[in-house]
Amino acid sequence: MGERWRQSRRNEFKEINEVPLSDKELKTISRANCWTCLFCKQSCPFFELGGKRIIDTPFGKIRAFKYMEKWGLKPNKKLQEATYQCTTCGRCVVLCSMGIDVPKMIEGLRSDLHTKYKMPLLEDHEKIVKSIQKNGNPYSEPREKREDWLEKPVTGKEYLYFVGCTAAYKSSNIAKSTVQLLQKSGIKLSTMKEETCCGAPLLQLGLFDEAKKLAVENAENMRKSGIRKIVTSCAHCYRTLKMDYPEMGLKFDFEVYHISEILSDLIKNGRLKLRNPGKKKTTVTYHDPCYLGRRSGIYTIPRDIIGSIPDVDFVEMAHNKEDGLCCGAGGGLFWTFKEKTLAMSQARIKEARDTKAQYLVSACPFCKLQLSESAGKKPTVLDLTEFIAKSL
Amino acid sequence: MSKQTVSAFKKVVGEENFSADVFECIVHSIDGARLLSGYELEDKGKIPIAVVQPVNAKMVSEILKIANRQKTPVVVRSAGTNQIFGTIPQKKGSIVLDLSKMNWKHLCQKDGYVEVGPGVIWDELNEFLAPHGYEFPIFPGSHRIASVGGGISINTSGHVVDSYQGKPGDYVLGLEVVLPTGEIIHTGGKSLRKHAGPDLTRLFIGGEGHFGVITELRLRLLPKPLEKRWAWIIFDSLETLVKAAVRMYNERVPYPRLLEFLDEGYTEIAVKAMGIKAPVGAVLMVTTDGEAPGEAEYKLKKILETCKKEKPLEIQVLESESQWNDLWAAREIPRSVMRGKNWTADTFDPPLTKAVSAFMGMRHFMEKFAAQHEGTKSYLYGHIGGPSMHTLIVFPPKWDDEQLKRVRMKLTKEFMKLSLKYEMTPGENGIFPLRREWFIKAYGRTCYNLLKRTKKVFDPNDILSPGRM
Repeated sequence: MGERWRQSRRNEFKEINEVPLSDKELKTISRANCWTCLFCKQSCPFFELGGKRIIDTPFGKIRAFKYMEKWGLKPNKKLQEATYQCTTCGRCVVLCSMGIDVPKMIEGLRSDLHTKYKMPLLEDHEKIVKSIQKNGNPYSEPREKREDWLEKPVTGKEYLYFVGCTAAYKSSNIAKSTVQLLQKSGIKLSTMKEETCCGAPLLQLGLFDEAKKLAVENAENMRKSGIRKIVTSCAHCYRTLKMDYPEMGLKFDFEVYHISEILSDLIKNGRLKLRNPGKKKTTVTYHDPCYLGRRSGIYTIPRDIIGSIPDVDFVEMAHNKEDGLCCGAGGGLFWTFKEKTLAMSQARIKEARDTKAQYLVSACPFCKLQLSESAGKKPTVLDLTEFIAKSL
Repeated sequence: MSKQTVSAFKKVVGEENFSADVFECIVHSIDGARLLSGYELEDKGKIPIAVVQPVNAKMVSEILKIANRQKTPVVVRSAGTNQIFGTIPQKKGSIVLDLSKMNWKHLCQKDGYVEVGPGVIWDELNEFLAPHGYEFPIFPGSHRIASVGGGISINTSGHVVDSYQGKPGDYVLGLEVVLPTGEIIHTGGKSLRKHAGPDLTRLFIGGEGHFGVITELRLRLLPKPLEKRWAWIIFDSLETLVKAAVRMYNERVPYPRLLEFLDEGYTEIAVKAMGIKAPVGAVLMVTTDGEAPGEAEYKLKKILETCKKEKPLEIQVLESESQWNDLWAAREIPRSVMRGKNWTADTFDPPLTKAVSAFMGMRHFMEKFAAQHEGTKSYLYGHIGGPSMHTLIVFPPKWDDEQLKRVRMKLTKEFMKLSLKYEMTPGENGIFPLRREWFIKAYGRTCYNLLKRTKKVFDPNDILSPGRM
């Protein structure tokens, strides 16, 4: 219902207010507009798994900040913890009566917390922020090792592959599969030696200025490469490059694609021929990465790709698409609150097991790592690129 | 309150179910009510001192014993989704007793009932029952987020035609209740046939939490309807629409599951919002259900036949639930996203013979109000199956908090007068948070005092929601 709901909200804003609302105005529906309906409560994984505490819900956070301002209270450890306990999955946005962009709202609260109220970051976040600023990645890995996964340098001029930190350092099989698939289809691509973190973790932590610095740096290097088309295999990089960079007010006139969009075209054009990766019929289910699905609007493409492989049965999990559950790794939570976020991925794995699928495919390195940690032997968790590479 | 008392509460529920953090206390004392000034808690001094989240009746009992001894005010909540300030503390130094962790569900299929904790959400209950072919047939509009405990405590339902199907409390076989003095009692029984004669269950159903804390509910199992049918009907005016609804009762038409209406102004916004092509008029939305094949369709046919006697402009029979959901979205959207500050006052449910005049009287009043206050718009919508209406007023964005508050208080008084004039009951929101004056005027001091004395018997130290009644 969500997209239709949002669309109609746009129309009806126009009708009721007699002045059409621009896209920009719609985006500014902020925390001040919360009308306390509490619909966000039931869709919030932190509320459900974290002990039914209202302060964990968007409603609770908005109210806590509101009263903090009203009564001049000082933020404390509990409020700080609550403000960071959000994976910015956006599952609540679908139900929000007011259409508040909750992930953006949360980023704003976090930003307020350390700019206006001078609260320090959580220790785990402090570490990754420092590492991003020093090494260009959150994993404290040296810059020069960013392309270690690459067997042979690639210098094509058609697409620029923006690898992203997680695929480069932690899940390099995704990066390798992406290059393999694109090369096999005859696409000429290059990578960027100077690539640095896209800034998504910083944005999600509300460090807007710091994120913009990285955006400027990346944009500069992209311009130098002379390539106009950018492809990425990471849902977070995709959303950041495609939507957040242009909003930051910097010159960013590149075409940004998620690898699933490119693969879909290649399969349709017959440039990539796929077969069943198993001996018998293979059953596959798909986990929507929050940043590719709810936050970027790509739901059907990955499903169509999987469904197009001969002898592959595609099955849905109980919660899917707009209502899909979060793996727990977004919003900067890949690096902290491990116990709670693993409870989220375990809940997701349980849904995947209920479908009896052999493979749980996702399209984001964070989802892959987080889900793998909870999956054990069954089901096999793969990124879309890995699964397609397996199906060649 | 002393530090010892706070730590005594903590000891009962354990660290993980306790918080004395100021922000947690604030957000656990706010509910779904919308104060036009934007603040629900007006007094800093009334921030509760602790939130306790018991997980069983024994814990509730221990907490209440301490509270009773120390005369600590207790505000009970589960989902906290009421829109009437029902869970906002009225006294200083209170604790919040949050029952949302008491959310177990035991299906006793062979006995024909389900036992649930008060923190179970209506949708969770229905999702749990659906695979077994059952449902709980009465639920509020907030079924996604509201809890069974709260629903039964107020005895409220939203959309379902409860004048026909009954209130949710009618399906309660028995309760486990912790009294304010700490005793755990059981009311009702396990038989599907409730006993004749005095039944204490009835006191706690709709008791608004004044007499005790419900810690378990035994609910009858009812078959989930086999099928549903949907339609919408546009009438030239709200008046004709109300006449059609009253006619349904008078002509003994099989009554639908849902019967909703939007007035002309609301309909215009709603149909435009969803891109539905429809003539200008007031819309009636119908859902019927049935347990036998063809039953839902038969009911719908009968309803439409009756409606036709009032000469509707257009009738659309919907083909699927998704079409109905789109229509429902159209109903939900406008009131939630007006740029001005909007306020839905309450429910007004007139007797059948006064329905037409009550609806028209309310509309006349609202129009007069809007004409007197530039930039104000007013709409009527609601559950005509009741028959019941909500008043929706949109105030100009430029009005300040003081002005809004003043007007809201004035309107509340006027609405009370109209309620008395047309003998309208508030069918959805409880009495004591907001309707005390109405209760005293409608039923008299004798009835009010009886209630107060009953409360005193159960709660001698007035610890449960003190200051409400």
